Amino acid sequence: MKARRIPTTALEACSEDVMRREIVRIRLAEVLACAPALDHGDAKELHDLRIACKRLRYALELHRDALPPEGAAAEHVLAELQDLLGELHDCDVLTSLAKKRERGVVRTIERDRRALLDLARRRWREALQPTGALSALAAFAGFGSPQGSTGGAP
Amino acid sequence: MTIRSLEGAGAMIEPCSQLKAWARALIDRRLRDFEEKRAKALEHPHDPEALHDVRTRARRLRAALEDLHDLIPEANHWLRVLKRLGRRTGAARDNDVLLERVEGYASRTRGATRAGFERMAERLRGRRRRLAERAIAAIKRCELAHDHEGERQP
Repeated sequence: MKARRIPTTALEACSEDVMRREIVRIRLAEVLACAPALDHGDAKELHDLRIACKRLRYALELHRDALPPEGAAAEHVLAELQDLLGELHDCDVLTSLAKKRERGVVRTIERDRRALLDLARRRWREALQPTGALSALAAFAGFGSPQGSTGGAP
Repeated sequence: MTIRSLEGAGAMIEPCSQLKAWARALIDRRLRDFEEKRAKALEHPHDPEALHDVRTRARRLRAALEDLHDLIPEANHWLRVLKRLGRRTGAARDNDVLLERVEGYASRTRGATRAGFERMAERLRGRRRRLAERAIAAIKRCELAHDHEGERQP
């Protein structure tokens, strides 16, 4: 998934704060746009969500000193989601490597995958609670609570 | 113009130059991190953790370049180089991660399922050396700092 460009020319004021907020806003929008993957469970969509989480997390990490505390909490949640989605991806790769006749192998991996997906869904829902880390970050980034909306960039 | 000379210019700097200097300082931080881990991986070419560290630092640098793209003239070139590095080192890292997971499955299953996981682990072990050699060759070739210094010459 290609990263959206952060346009410097469209910014009203040419300042670090504006740029920083714009980076967080766009990267968070990418995460929200990919979030329906958690409902669908599709391997490719989940992989895109993982990449989007990673981009937002790295942006928060790079600007940590200049961001409000919401940034650090979101970083933590994103790292956890990223790990879970990474393990899910490993399950998908292993399933494709397993020989079809090895049913026990495939069943074991699929059971693991289901548990990981459930956990990722739970973490996502918690992060979008009114007191959740991503809700707070959304408020900082300048758009309303993302609660209930898993898709669409603001 | 280097960052050092910009810092010295103080109030004479146009807002946009300040923004560029800010972006450059952030990228330099990521670049130093990457170069440090790259040197370590070249010193310990058979250490999977050293390879992992190079990959995570390369990803962080790449994410920062995507965020600050319009403010960094070398961004396109570096992004291409880092993408290539990611591709060429990815297979080795993925193989290590999958192997660890498969070994975990093998240790907690029994009978035919266990034998299936053991066969899979054997296949993954067999690829390890070739993939690691390819990864280290790619790390050796990826010299961003030299490009960087070159582009800064007056």
